[in-house]
Amino acid sequence: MRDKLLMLLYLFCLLYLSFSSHIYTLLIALVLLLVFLILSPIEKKLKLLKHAFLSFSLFSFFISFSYLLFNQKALDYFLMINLRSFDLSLLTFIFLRMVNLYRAFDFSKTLSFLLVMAVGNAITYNRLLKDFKDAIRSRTLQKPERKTLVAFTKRLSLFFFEKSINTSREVQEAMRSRGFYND
Amino acid sequence: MHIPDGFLAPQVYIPAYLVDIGLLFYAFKRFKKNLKEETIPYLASLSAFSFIIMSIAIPLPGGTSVHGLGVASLSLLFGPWTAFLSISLVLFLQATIFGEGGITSFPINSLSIAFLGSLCAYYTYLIAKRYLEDKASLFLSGFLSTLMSAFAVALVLGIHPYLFKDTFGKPLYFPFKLSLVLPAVLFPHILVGIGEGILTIIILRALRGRI
Repeated sequence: MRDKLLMLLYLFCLLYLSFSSHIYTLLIALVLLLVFLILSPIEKKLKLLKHAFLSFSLFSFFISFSYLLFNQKALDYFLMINLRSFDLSLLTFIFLRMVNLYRAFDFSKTLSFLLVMAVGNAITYNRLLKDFKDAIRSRTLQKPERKTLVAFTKRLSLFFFEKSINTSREVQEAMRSRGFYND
Repeated sequence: MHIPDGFLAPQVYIPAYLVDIGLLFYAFKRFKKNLKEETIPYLASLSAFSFIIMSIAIPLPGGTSVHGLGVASLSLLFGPWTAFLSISLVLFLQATIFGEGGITSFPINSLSIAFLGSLCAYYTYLIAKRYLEDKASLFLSGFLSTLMSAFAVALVLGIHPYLFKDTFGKPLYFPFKLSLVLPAVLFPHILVGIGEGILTIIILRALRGRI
């Protein structure tokens, strides 16, 4: 229940901040979010702050700086858009750290299982992809030729495709044996 | 393209969420009708597969490389509705679990990349293979689906300064008009489209006949 309530609160704050265009409101929201972050039991606060900053800064700074170059008097726009973007990013990162997303979505058994499985598979596949990349790097002294890279991409897609089919079969049998389908 | 939160107006992303959820619900019903028990594990595995395709760098002539989307490959292998579902799931995971792309931009990405991209790839291939060789049709399918997605994203961004401005005429959300944002988004995506076209050829040639 706690996760669902926090999700509702998050959605309310998200909407409020998205509609807000006043610099002072957005600045107060940022201060409140920072105070909340400091007082919260969240671990690795600085890392979270860094992630939230990096997730919005590239696009946001590029767009707002470009706009500032075209319109010299657009400093208030520059501040407003970056503040709003940072507020929303920070809010999302804090929410994702405080809430168990799988529990927040457990009003639907299908959605919850789908999320758990998709994330589990994505993390495993990502680790395997890293191993594959390390393998090709360790076996080629110079930058691999285009032909080698095409063959590598072909092998990768084949491997992950077959793994996906096999994994889905195995998981389906495991779910059936544990009574997920209630048959 | 990862649009962070704050650049899209709620008047745009809320209706987009409603449309996207409706389409996703319909796609899921279609998918479930054909697969029943296998639906959840198959969709989860397929989404992880598309997640990996998005992480693969495609070598381009001239020594450069770009990251593909895998939209055309998935659409041609599994059909546009299945591709739409699995790519949307990946985009959702990227926004929520992995912190890439905003929550408010998720429906725009899902509709433009997953929905329009998948449909465009599928029907481009169907039409193109009547007149062109298979390899050229695959390439065109990947290339055009990427440009179509980029065009849709640019269109959504570009309408913001016309619709949402304060009393002094200053923008409240994304600031650049269509005349600027269309070429700025479309031209770099030509390179991504070429990469996507090559990726579609590689994947389809390797995996066709294994389904």
